[in-house]
Amino acid sequence: MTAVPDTGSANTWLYAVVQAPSGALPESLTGVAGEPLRLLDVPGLAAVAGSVPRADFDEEALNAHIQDPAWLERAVRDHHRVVCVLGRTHRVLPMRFATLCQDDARAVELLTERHDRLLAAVDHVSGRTELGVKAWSAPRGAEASGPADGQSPGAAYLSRLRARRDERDRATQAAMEQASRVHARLAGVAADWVQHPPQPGEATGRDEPMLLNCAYLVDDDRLPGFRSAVDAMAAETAELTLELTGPWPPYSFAGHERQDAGEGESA
Amino acid sequence: MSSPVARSGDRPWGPAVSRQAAPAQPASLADLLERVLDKGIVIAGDIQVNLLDIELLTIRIRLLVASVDRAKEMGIDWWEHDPTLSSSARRRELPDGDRADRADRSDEADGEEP
Repeated sequence: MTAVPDTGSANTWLYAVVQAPSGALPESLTGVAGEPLRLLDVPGLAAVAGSVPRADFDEEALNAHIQDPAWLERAVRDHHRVVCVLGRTHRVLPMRFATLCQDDARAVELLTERHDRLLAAVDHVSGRTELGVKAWSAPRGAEASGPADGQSPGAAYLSRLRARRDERDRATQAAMEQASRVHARLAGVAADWVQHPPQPGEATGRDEPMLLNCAYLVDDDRLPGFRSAVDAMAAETAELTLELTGPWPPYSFAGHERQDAGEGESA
Repeated sequence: MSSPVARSGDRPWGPAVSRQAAPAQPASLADLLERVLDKGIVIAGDIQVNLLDIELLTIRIRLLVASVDRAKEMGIDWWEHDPTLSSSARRRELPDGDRADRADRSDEADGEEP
């Protein structure tokens, strides 16, 4: 397996930007094409890159590959694995999946253009950890009720339907209010947060609608407090099922330019 | 009963964690895709990738993962036998026609106990 940084047959896949090189990369670490990884110098930073064969990673081939769910899943997990391993030894900003340049020089040029923002982003995530919190309406048992006194079977049926619908609306409403309280409390503990779109039931395997899907960036010394807050709210909010995920590399905050340090930016 | 907090992802990463290199348990694919495909540093590289159908892909992959005894066997071709992924399932030849026992291949997956 030779993955020479040769611009003729390979593109440069970027995995992450890390704070100024602090030690070598683990030798055993390989990327989405099984290629060895290297560091590219960007002033004050470094990018972690690999050379991937054009045959599989030019525009046409890649667009075909990502239609193949298994290829995509493997590649996504490979990319993620690299980012996770880097995160053990470096302050890391993950690149979005499939950030590809013609060669190293081009990658360095693009990253250098964004140098200031990248530094600010590294600063924003350092000493902090991303956690995910999702919430659903709690599953409810089947309701059974006989016809009320004096009702005809038809009327009883209709009133049961109506009652069931009203009850469902009420429960959903209550769950939504609880979800927003959960979020407010967690956002108060976190340094930053980002909302992800709710995941559809097909993706979660749950019948209940997802009411909250947020990523929180939490100061490392507040992690225990954040977890306790999630536990406490899970206990308090009977209408909700909560799920905590992570810690994640700070994907959700890598490209997120929130200036919470009062620093203005023109673009 | 109060609603319990489910935890998934099992600490694939994090400053306080010093586990083995590979995550002990794969993160939920939906959680992973929404981060890896949709977040992260964005720079317009030289290759443009159309990720518009990702949501659909997420759903299909997720269904598979849920139906075939979890992602322990990542990297193994169990998914390819699944008829719901027709295009890719048909693209590749099955090795020996032993599709029936795909759920029993955990012995090929190293390390992790079911």
